[in-house]
Amino acid sequence: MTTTRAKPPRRRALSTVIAGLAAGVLIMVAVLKQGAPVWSAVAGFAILAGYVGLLFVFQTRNETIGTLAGNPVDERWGLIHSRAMELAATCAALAAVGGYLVTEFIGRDNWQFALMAVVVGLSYLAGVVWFRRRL
Amino acid sequence: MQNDVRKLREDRALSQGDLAKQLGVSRQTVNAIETGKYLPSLPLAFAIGRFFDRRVEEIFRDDDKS
Repeated sequence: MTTTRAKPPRRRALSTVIAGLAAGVLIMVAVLKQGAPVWSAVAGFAILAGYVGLLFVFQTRNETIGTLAGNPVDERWGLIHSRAMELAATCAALAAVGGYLVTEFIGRDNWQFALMAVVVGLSYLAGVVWFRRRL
Repeated sequence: MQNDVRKLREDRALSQGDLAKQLGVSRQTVNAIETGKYLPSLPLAFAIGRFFDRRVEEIFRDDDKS
């Protein structure tokens, strides 16, 4: 019998970096559009850029950072990543529904919470249909 | 589920890191398998079997099986 290497190549998670930098630029533009000081817009971008920069540099040196960068090193870390995403999605759904209910009770505008809840619900349904075909 | 991965590894005087390198997983994953915290996928279980030249069921045992 021969041994096989199941390890996928440790590829740089460029998509995470690009998405992080794009989010940073959007935050910077949104802050500037509100008329806030330039330094606060730059700080918003710098925080995100610094975060994804750290992920990019250290992702191959540490399994936890690699997983945060969307590049789990093996199947166990992939499972940890999936479970963490599941927990985050559950929290997002609870925040959306909870926020909607609270703002409804106190009579504030709550379309953002309603939209978020609809997106979470529809993406869950789409996920069930998609993965039912694939798994 | 119990397994003999630790015993087989120690019999060959390998560290967890050595075995992890051979299997293409992290050292923490080998430790998690040995302590029963993590059940490997079928491909990884077969890779472990091939590495130790044993059948999968000789390495991993079902606790519920009488």
